[in-house]
Amino acid sequence: MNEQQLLKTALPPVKELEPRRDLWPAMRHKIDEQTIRIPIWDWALIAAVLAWIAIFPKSALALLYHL
Amino acid sequence: MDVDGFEALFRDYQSEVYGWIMRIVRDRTAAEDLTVETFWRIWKARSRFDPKREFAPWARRIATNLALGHLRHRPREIALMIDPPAAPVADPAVTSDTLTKVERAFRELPPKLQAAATLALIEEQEYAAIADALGISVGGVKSRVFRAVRMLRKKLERAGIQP
Repeated sequence: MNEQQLLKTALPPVKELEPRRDLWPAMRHKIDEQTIRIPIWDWALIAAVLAWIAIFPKSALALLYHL
Repeated sequence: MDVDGFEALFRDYQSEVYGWIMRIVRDRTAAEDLTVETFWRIWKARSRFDPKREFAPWARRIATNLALGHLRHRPREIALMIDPPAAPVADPAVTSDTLTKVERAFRELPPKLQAAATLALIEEQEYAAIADALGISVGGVKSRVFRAVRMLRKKLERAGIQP
């Protein structure tokens, strides 16, 4: 028995070539999660801008000008 | 590409991608996770995909990279536990102990050699398809298979097995 035959006996070719379930729901969940998720740095930036406006209300106009 | 278009693509190719990954990792749960991960990467890179090129080879290459990463990080003990039991032995000289040693020796090969040898020698896939998936030449695949067999032979000889 050569190496290939020995290998094929020890590790037979895979027969289960179809997934056990539809994988689309898992994929869809991953896509939706990415669409909804806002990175923590974006939240931090929003909080910082709101705090800045609360402390210096007049700066809101300057901020709007730059937007 | 919108989500509906991507869903159609996913449904057309999920079995093909899953089957390819399964051939390399030989673990159903991991193959399912890696299939979703493959399509996730495709979704993120969809703007870079050239529609003039074939989709399947591109998907297979991404899937192969992920499968290789999985082999690199999978503990060998788990690999042995989840593999299907070996086929009934036709040759009486080959014991189940021998087959376990062969399997163990094979799992100790570097993942790149293991994947090339699995696809070429066990799954008997075309060398051109393997080369495309691994991103190397056909000669490169032959070289990896040759090195895998040589390393396997040495390991088996050390374990007292003469193929």
